[in-house]
Amino acid sequence: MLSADLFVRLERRARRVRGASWAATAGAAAAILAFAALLATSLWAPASAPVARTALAVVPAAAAVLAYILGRRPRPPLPVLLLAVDERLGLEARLSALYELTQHPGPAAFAARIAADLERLAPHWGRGIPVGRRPLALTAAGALLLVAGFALVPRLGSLPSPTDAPPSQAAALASESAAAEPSDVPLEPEGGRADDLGEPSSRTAALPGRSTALRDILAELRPLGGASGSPSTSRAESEPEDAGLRRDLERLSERLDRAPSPLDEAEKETLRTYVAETSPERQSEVDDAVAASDLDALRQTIHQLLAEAAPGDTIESGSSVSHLAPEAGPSASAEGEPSSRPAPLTPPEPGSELAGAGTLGDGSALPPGSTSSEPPPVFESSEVGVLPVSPPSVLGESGAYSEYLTLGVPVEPPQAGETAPGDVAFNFDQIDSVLSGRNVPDGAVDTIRAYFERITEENP
Amino acid sequence: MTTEVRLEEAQKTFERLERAVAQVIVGQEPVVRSTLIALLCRGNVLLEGVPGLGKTLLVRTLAHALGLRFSRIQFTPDLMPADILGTNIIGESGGARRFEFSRGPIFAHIVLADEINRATPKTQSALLEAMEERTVSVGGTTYLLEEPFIVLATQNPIEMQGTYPLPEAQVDRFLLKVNVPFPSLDELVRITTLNTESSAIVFPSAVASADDVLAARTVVHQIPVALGLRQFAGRLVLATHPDSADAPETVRNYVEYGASPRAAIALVRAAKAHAFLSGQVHVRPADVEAMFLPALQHRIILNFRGEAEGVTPSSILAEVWRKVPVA
Repeated sequence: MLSADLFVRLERRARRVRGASWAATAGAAAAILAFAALLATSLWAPASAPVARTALAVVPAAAAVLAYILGRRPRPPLPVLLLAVDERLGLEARLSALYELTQHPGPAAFAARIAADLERLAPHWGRGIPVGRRPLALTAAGALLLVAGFALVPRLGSLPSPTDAPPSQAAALASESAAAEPSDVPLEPEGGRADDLGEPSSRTAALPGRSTALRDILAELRPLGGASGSPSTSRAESEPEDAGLRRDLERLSERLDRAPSPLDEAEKETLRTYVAETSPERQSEVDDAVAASDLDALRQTIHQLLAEAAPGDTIESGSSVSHLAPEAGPSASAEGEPSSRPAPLTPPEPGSELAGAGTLGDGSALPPGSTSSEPPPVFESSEVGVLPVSPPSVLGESGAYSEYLTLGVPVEPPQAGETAPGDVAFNFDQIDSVLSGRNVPDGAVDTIRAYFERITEENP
Repeated sequence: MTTEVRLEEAQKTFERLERAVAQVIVGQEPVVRSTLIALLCRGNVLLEGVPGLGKTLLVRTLAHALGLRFSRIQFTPDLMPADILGTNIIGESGGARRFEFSRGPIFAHIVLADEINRATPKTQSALLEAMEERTVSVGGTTYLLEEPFIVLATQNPIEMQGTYPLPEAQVDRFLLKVNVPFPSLDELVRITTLNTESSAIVFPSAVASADDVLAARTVVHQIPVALGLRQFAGRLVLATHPDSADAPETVRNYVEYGASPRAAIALVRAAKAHAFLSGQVHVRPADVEAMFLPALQHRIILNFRGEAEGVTPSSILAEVWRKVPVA
């Protein structure tokens, strides 16, 4: 006997099938879009890849559910549906005719005979409203895309993208140097994308280590360069002002040497300003000399002032020597600087052989103040006798890095009671004791010993 | 239960009727069935075929088998309407003279209008009222025709000289148009045998009555047609119109006017009768398909291009059937 709710069940099945068809279509379309988005983000915006992966899982499912709900909502036209079922099951419109008789009652004999025919044929009602091939194909395609999206795309993400082309060696060095520059902006680890993906590649994982090593090495080397870096920023900012005052003082000194005559008001102001800026403790001495118009005293005072400023600059230029004299005496220019920065040496006292002039390798004296106004000298090993330290070091990927010991002015603070203030001890035994405690290479020790012997001979 | 009994009796009656006709008419089953369908649907049939195919014999045999009155009218150009319908003549009754209506040959159950296209349109139109309204109006008086009434008209499709093609309004009154095919070899042998070996054609005795026909009509009327199939019939008819969105290319190219709404009615009614004669109690797509061509082919009016290129309505309808799905 035919079920009384046959038409209702068929209608429900039709709605479910239509909902499934819509869901398959919408899900497959959403899967295609999500897959494309995931592919694009994996290649061009790796940081968004996790979001895209989540979207790949969520969006098709959400679209399918929504489409299923919408697809089930409208009622299908039952006469058309039943006629389609009749056609599909070969019922020759019996089902439609039976439904017609239920809607517009006719002779009972007709309905009974049609129902009997349907029972005799015993159709499989489920096949009357089949799920079409297209929804099945779309579902399969969507599932494949999902699998591909989850299994394949992460591998694509680890491949170098067009924007991820390996930099040239020069560019790499430049970027490393830039990375080594201290900055207020925190450095972005290059392996961030791999970390975001949760699968850091070997390449991206290696970058931070290399960058850190270079940064550390360059930080160690910065004191040797002695030019840039935030620790010396205040000093670098004050240097132009000091240099201007010193140039004015040098011109004043030259003018007095060339034409001894009393100072005018501008020159007096220049002198007072310089003293106030650099040696306030000598302000009264300078004022007395200016008031007395003692040109000799003024000239000597000016020379002393210039000499006080000159040794620091000279020694700073030959900064490699500073490693040999970290325990040098206190200096005004060293105040506020990090401990890693080499401290300037104590300026020699006026009247000494070294006072007021730096000393080159050949022992010739520099003009007073000449080192302060000129750029740091570039030492060529063939000219000034720098000593290479073997073996050469290798810094990361930068290649061989040779260290040199340049000839400088080794100075030890005077021992109390042994020498007069400003005297420098040129006893090599004392120097040797200092060098022996600092792991100076043997060859370098010999060179230093030869140097001291030479300058001792010239300046007993 | 009453309906079930009438259903079975009616179907058995018409099975006997078909067998009785087949004893005389060799072959031509589709023509016989179409005639019976028109009888069951209260319709008329236009038979088209060359002379000598047994059209007149079919009508006479059917009349004998049903025990109904039969009349045959040979249409000629000088045939007048009064010759068909009848006329008032002066008669004398009881010493008084008065007009009396003399009934024409239209007053019969089965009327054969042989070569109907040879009469003038005026005479042809005399059949309109009888065919549609089943009444005859003469001299201000309307006379009812006795049921079952059916007009079977024939026309020769070849000999067109001196003929008057039926106007569209009159053609539309025919429920079906049936092409009478030429018999096959076997059928010809049987025809010659029947007409040469026997002394005369023996018409069958009545196997049914007028009441049986009317009862069968009631049963056929109650046969259900699914709404989907009615929609299908409507789409078929609409597809014959060149301005319809569902019209195939052939319709757009060769059809001037498509089938009328009367065609859809005829199609569904004929499908019902066809289902009844097929022993079914509901209309099937196969019934619609069987009646599609007979019900619509005379309702398609070709345009000049179609006429010039010799396109037939049957070929156009075949294309329509292919293009319009059932569901």
